[in-house]
Amino acid sequence: MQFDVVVIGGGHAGIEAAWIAAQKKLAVLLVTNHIDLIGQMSCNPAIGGIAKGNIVREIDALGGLMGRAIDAFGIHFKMLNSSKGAAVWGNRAQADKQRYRNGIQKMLMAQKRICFLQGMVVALNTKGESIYSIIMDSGVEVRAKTVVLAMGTFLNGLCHIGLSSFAGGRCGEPPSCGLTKSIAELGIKSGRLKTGTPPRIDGRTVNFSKMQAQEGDAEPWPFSFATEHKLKNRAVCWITKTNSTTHAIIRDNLDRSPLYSGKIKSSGPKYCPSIEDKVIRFGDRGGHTLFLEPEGLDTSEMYLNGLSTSLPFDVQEKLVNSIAGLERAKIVRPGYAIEYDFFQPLQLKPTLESKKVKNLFFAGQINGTSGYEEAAGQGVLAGINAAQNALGEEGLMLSRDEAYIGVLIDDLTTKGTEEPYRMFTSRAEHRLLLRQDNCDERLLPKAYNKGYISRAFYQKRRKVWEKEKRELSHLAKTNIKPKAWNNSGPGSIKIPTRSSVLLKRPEVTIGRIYRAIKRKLPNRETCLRIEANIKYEGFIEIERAEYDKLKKLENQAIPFGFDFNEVAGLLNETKKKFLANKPATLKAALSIPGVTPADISVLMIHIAKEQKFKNVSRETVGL
Amino acid sequence: MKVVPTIAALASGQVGAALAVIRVSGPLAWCAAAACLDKKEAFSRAAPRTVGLYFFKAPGNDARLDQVTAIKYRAPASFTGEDMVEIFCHGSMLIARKIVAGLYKCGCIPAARGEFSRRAFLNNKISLLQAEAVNEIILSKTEDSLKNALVQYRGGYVPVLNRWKQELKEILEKLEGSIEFSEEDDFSKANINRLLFNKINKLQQEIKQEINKKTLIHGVDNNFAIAIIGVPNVGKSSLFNELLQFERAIVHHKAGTTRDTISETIYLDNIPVTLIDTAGITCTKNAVEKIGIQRTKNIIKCADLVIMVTSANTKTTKQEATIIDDIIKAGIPIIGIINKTDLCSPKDKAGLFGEKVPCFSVSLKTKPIDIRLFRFILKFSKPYIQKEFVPSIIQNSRHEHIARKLLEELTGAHKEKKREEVVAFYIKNALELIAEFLGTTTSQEVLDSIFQKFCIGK
Ligand SMILES: Cc1cc2nc3c(=O)[nH]c(=O)nc-3n(C[C@H](O)[C@H](O)[C@H](O)COP(=O)(O)OP(=O)(O)OC[C@H]3O[C@@H](n4cnc5c(N)ncnc54)[C@H](O)[C@@H]3O)c2cc1C
Ligand SMILES: Nc1nc2c(ncn2[C@@H]2O[C@H](COP(=O)(O)OP(=O)(O)OP(=O)(O)O)[C@@H](O)[C@H]2O)c(=O)[nH]1
Ligand SMILES: [Mg+2]
Repeated sequence: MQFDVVVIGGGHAGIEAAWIAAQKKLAVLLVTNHIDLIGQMSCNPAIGGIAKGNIVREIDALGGLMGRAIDAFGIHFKMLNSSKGAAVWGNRAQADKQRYRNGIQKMLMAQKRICFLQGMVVALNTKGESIYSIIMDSGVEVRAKTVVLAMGTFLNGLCHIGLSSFAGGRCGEPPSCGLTKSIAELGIKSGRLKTGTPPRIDGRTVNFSKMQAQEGDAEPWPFSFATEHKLKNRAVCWITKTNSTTHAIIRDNLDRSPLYSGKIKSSGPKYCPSIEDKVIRFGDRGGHTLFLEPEGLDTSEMYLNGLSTSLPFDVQEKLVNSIAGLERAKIVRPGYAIEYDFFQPLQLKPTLESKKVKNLFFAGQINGTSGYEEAAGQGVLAGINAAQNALGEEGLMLSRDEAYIGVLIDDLTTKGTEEPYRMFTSRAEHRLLLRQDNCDERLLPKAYNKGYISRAFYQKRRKVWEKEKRELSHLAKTNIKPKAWNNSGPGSIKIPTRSSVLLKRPEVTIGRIYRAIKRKLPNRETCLRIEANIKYEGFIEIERAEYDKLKKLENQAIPFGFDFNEVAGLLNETKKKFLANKPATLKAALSIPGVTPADISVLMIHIAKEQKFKNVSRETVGL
Repeated sequence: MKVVPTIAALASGQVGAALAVIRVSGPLAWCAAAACLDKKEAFSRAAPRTVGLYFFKAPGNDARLDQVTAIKYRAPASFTGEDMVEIFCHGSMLIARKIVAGLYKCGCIPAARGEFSRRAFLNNKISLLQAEAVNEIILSKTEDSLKNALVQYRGGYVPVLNRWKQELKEILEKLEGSIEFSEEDDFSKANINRLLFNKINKLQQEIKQEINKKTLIHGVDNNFAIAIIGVPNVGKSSLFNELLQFERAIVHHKAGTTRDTISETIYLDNIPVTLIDTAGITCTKNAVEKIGIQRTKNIIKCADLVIMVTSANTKTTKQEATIIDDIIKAGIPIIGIINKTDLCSPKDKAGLFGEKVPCFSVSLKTKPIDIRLFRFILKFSKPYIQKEFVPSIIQNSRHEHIARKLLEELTGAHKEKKREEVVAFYIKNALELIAEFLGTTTSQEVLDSIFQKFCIGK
């Protein structure tokens, strides 16, 4: 057997990698432990969220699956942060877990270029500098031009419930053993991380009258740019809170927590903390908010979002029963924590290819990230680049001002991570530009140029952008007279003013502008784009100018043979790091863990000082 | 192995003083100095920070140039943090020049402007703010600006800046928290927003106050300015000379004598004040006089105090009344002097100034040096010349520029009501400005512009 692209792992990273590589008519193999569980959501039954929703839209614009799948199998949609500016909106949907998984499988299987193989991969073989083949637990060897690794939380996975622990890739599934060792033998270093999940509740035992209902949006926004059908909410989420009794139970049982008894040593996600962490780190805070989310339409199982825990089962029961509405609730599956191997992503190129082994790509949780969207985003990029390599074509890299996926991969490959990495809007210095409304304009042309998007679809989207441009230029030309404006809402004008200038004002809505100029309002999507474009224009320019300045600085070369010992004002520790790494640019220097921007400032000045000295000594200045 | 060049320069004032000081800094400092001194061993053996007496001999020339004293400093216990030598010679420019030239022959190179301080900064001996304060200390002309610069040198204002930074950081954290976790936990929005906006507002007020203080302190950059104005021939130049106590301006019985503005510094109660004599204001066809009058008008606009001179023996003209009216309307402090009381009683003229403008009568020609005249002027200048010590974070135009930009960002932030991401945008900019202020993130250009203002040898 020989394939162009072999993807190991049927999680969210693996799915996208296999799917996108198949778009280039390559022979693709998806190897996974259990075919029925391809597309399984290991943790919560939701896709999207703030910053994460943008990633889903970016995946979609690059030709990925996730957006279309969630539009098809979502049962509750809500645009988060819609009370704030459009730059920080984030779409989030509850999925019907089972239908989502089945739907993904159906979509993949409809793609005839993708073959499937069930089993555990236990080793990798290289030939020369490049990957050569994979070895299955059955002993079967599969030749591969390129390989994408996406084993998620499975590598030497160890689950914890209370003080008892058992091997598993996630609860109910076996771990993947042997593969880490084989990868380490290629000279790639591994580390260990931890994450956790809350207990699932039997919905039939919940008293909803004591909880607050959270409805979806009246008019849901789709994730995918291809979705044309109207989305419908078919379920409700419920909000409740922990209380002082809950917190007391946690405090009383910390000695039985694997996290606090010292049994688990690896770091967990700082931003998806367990309830133990929340109570210890943030205190009572008048209760921590919990969401009770349906796992699907055909099941009574519900996900208790916010109560991730690895306390023993009996304590979990007490915890749950201390919460309003859950007094009689029964746990269906206990919460647990899992420890697993990951590979420090500093060992990767910005294409997600290994620096050590050619044609070997890493994607998803094994790169130290957390979350379906983060995994899927890497999957698309790794898949595209594996395909490009297999075809001998140039790869795709996304920069920090092009996409959240660019920010994600840049952070991972230049700074590395010591804890499960989750995306935030604040990680993007171009937050105002990397909005969820304009993902297609940012990324679709790139994917199209490389052949991952159909011509028909590209043309269709171009029409939308052209319409937007026409409207923008119309607004830039059209004046509004004070008579037509004043008294139609807050803020007045004294002289005729351009519509685009008026729309810049925070309090002015696009609807009011179009009423004043008596023009037909474009559809909701176009309106959002126009408004965001105009309102953020000035800010984005400043953001970009600042970034360009930084970029220029970062790219400044450190002269060959520069003596870091001579740099006074650096800690000895920092000097040692520079001497060991010999960075060639300031950016490379900054990417060394533990090096601060202040160190870079000092370094930069010293480099300039040396150049200055050269100038001075050439001059013959009299007194 | 890169070698840092050793620099040498004259560090003391240029014009004939009793002594001159030459500074040498860098790895070659000790051996370059030793090569130029007669008792080489004694110099080599001498303990750092002790004074020795030597003869300076230029290399290749056995003649003794001058008797000097020399002190060694061992790195890092020196101003620059490098090995240093300070040589004290007699204050002849020729000798100093020859000594420095001798050092150049021994491997030293000329120091660039502010290079000693720059090295001190680069070697972590002083912070950027301290380096600036060194310059302010040298340049300060008033007690207040000196006091302020000293506080700055001791790092006195850094805590305030750090506090601003801390507060901005907290505001940013809250904003980001509210953006990222809006649906989770207790980010009850309305409450947070009100609190944040109050905080932003408080900072705005504080920065505004600092900027205002700066305009009260007439220190390094600009003195308190007093303009002497009036119609021609009333005795403006006479008053100017009288206050200076020497014949600076031409005094002549012909009207229109002073054509250009003349300024000099006088000290009122130890405060330097710039005194400006101007061309008399009148309607004229003379082109040169016209230009002079335009200059007078410009001077009035930027003066801190105007002295309007009139003479007792002339009839009040409409012109004079208009001048006074305009100045009062522009809100510029004004006092009046009625001159030539030897010729006529000042009573008739008193009406010109009215009740709002305090005035004083003199006869400059017959009764010179009247101490009461000084007191009169001082009395009305004093409220405007800040006397009470007001410490201000803002020491120079760089600081003021950053503070004003900071204020702009905060004003932007405060105007936003709903878009937290835009508020965060402004706050991030503000944080960068503070880092710039503190010198923690500095660019090459900023450093250059700071150290360019220094003199050579500093
Ligand atoms: C207990 C738990 C808690 C979590 N908590 C959170 C959370 O709080 N917040 C959050 O954002 N995310 C959380 N997640 C993470 C989220 O599930 C992952 O980020 C996401 O699923 C990662 O996608 P992936 O494609 O990298 O890997 P996975 O979805 O884990 O998929 C890995 C796939 O690889 C297959 N596989 C593994 N090894 C082999 C092998 N050797 N041979 C063949 N196939 C193999 C597996 O069968 C599986 O199909 C949690 C996951 C778990 C298990
Ligand atoms: N009698 C008398 N003459 C005075 C007195 N003060 C000045 N003068 C004379 O007045 C004439 C003009 O004096 P200036 O000081 O040149 O007057 P000015 O206001 O500077 O005049 P312009 O420069 O022409 O505007 C000179 O001849 C002075 O000697 C005074 O107190 N009494
Ligand atoms: Mg005169």
